[in-house]
Amino acid sequence: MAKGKRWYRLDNAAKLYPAVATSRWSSIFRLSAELTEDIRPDLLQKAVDKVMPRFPAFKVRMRKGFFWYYLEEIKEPLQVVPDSGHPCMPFRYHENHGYLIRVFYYRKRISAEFFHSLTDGSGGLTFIKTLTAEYLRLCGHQVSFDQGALDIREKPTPEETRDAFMHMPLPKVRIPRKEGRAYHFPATPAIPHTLYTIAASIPADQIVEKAREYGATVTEYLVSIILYTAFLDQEKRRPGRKKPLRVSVPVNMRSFYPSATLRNFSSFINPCIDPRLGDYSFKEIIREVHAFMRYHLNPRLLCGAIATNVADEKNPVCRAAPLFIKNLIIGTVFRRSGERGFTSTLSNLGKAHVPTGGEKWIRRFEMQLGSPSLPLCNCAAVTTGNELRLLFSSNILETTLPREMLRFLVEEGIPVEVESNMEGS
Amino acid sequence: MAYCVHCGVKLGESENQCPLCHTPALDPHAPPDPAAPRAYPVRTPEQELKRSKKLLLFLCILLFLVPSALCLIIDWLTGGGLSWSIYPCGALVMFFICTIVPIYLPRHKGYAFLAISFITLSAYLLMVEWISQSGRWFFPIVFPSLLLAFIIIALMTLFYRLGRLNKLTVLAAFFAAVGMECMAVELFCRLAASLPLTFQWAIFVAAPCIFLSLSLFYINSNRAIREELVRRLHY
Repeated sequence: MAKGKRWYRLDNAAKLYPAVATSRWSSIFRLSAELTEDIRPDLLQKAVDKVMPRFPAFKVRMRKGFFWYYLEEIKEPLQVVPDSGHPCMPFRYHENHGYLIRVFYYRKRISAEFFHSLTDGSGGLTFIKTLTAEYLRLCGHQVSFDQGALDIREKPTPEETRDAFMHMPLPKVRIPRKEGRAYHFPATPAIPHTLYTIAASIPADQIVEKAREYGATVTEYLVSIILYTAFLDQEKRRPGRKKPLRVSVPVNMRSFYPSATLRNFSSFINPCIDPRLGDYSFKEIIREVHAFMRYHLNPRLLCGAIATNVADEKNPVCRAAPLFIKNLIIGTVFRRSGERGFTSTLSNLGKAHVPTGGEKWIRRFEMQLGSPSLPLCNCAAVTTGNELRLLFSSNILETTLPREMLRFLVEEGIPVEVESNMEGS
Repeated sequence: MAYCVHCGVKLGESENQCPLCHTPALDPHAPPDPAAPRAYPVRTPEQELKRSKKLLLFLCILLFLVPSALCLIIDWLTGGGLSWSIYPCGALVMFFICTIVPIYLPRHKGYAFLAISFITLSAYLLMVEWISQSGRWFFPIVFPSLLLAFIIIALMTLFYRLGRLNKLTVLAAFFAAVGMECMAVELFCRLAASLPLTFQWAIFVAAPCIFLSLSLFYINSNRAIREELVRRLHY
């Protein structure tokens, strides 16, 4: 390590991602802010230069130690670049000074892509809000650093770069996590490095009202639609060889253990239905999903799941194994289980409040999950004002999930507007 | 701004067709403007491929040029002319064509690649015959043997693409092809040498190959044995 450079251990969740990353795939997500005016690259570069020191945990490159990867501080500035038609391309550690974050601009949109080892959706949203607020301030607008945007005039606190997993009250018990394989929509893989984006704008008040009619939250409602869509698809295509249907839903642990950390602090729950047990109506699915979420969204169970991961990390044999052995084992386990256990992923960041004074200039925030490691379609949702922005990301040619899901919403009486990055559309 | 007549969703201003079902956007009052800026940058398929192709091309040229130059220099310095270095250089040219051509061939042009490989390999061997002055062996023996091998590979590719072969039957066909090829080579050799058309060494290679091939075809057709093997050999 170069003298005088700070370094960070990877947090518990972050340890997985470099071990399973390849030249074709790595775990990435993108957060964007769409403004009402075209982006000025020079001002955006200035904003990035001013904002990055406030996020020391993002100003890092990935380094290999003998036993674990670690993050090392970067002195060089991060360059903003025009957006390309290839969102969430894998990070190559030797490119762009080794930054694990990219900042793009395209017309009225500022986007930031994060390698998942750096942060989770919540930390990413804080960054994009701060960057947008600073950019708008440089444009001459009166925008405050509040509503989740950090004040760049303040110094970063140790709490922000802390591994929050290590400061949780973790139980000693290990919860078994094997869940088996789930149904995947039959898919034709697109050529490598393709990520199709379909964005849907939905009035937030109408979808909230509709979810309430079913006695569910918006996340539960959206998860239920995915499960119902998958259920119908499996009934049609593979009635004889059914598999469980499961959606992976990231959970922000800050809701249960308040923490200012900007690094990973999330877990997952996987609502599931099993069509081998019988048929389901949509109402039955939403009732099951609601019950599942109510039961599993409690700190004890979430801590139990995290405790299992942390116990693996602290296992003396595991710790003593050289990095290449760890990579081999983690990679094998990930390929054999990983995304095979989910039909899809739905990440709902919830309501993203716009920094005060920015309401006039910021149209919306949006989140996009990176390419899945298998031929899949994942989705992410963010609500800004009265607009829920749902972004589907897929590396497949078929559009079964977004098509059926959005058609379902339309049939439910909720208007949907779509945009995409697909050729010819 | 149009609505998709199938999905019922409102289409963004820059959408010429519904991204969900690919139905063209129909709004007689506002026909789609192809020049209108897109909501998201559209992917350029060539961008990533071109980069990787360039790198691969560079590597192949390097792999071709460096050993070729070394061989030519060493041959020239030691022998005062070009003799043995023509063989490795010819082999490298063949390797170069066989690696570069597939990169620039469109996907699924396997037959074109097979044809190019056949022509290149034949040309190389013909050159070896011509330079070495070791008698006539290319047209009587090598050419028909090569042609048969490539025809067998092409047929296997065709059957595999038609879905007639699975992994087990590909293996079975491979063993059958090796047996047949050996027998054919011996026949061509004996014809070239004007010897009686009987099998001597080829039968010892062909017999186990054909036995293996028939066994695999039988296993493939017998579900119980197949499942028993999968159960015992799964990993």
